[in-house]
Amino acid sequence: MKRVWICALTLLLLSACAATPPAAEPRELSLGAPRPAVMTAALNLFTDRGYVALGGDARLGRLEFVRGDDRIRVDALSEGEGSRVGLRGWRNGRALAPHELDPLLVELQAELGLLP
Amino acid sequence: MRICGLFLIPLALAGCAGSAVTPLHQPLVTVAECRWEAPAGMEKVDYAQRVVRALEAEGFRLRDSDMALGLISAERTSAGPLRAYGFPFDRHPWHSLGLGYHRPYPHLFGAYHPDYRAIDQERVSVWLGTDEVRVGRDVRRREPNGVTRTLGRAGNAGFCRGLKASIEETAT
Repeated sequence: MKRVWICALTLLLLSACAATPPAAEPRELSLGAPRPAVMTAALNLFTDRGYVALGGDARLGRLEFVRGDDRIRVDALSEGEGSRVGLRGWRNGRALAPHELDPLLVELQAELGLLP
Repeated sequence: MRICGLFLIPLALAGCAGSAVTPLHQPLVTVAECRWEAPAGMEKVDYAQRVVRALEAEGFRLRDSDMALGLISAERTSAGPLRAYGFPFDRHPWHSLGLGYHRPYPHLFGAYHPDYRAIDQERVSVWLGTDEVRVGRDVRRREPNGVTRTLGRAGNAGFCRGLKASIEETAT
């Protein structure tokens, strides 16, 4: 009987490992700058901070960066006159909490000269 | 009184839980060799062709490129150092208990085999900005036991110097 309980407890404990990891949630922000300018600013910012670009496409509006264990994806969409930027991040393959990406968005705004 | 001693254990173990992580927006130490002025009087595409040729001559494979952005990404995989096969504590944490050995017979102090080695993966990006060329490089080492580590940026200065020299060599 004791063995059954141990088996049940082990199964319960292991079930926590089976859950799928949550998908990365984007941190989005509307910017009053056209998309090409935003992408250039993002490249300028990230390469300055020591990130390596894994790839990007101007028409697709996507850039991908890596630095050590961190991976950042930038999605830029046109929105009227301006654009909408979404940042997603992973550390060691695990999604980062959106609030961790806030400083990057602020620096991106500063790069574009949109901060007061 | 003894229960107070129990409280000390989680306190002591709490130190192991966190690790120092560089904030995402914090700049790293910049390597001056990895930035140089964009060549004057030269088309961006022509320069990009030279960069790609220089990278491929060094054994890189083009991973992605976009000329509207002026971005070139390449990667290279090379053989890293040899690792001892079957060394205690190498593969499994329970190796030392006599479990988790590989088949024919456990090597007590490890054995070397030319195929059992780490693999270094280098990822390089070259961005041709309006007035500056920036090179970034990141090296990951995959250990044969499955662990992946990021190596530092120690070799970047030498790499960038070599890359710049070979780009200028390609020009002639």
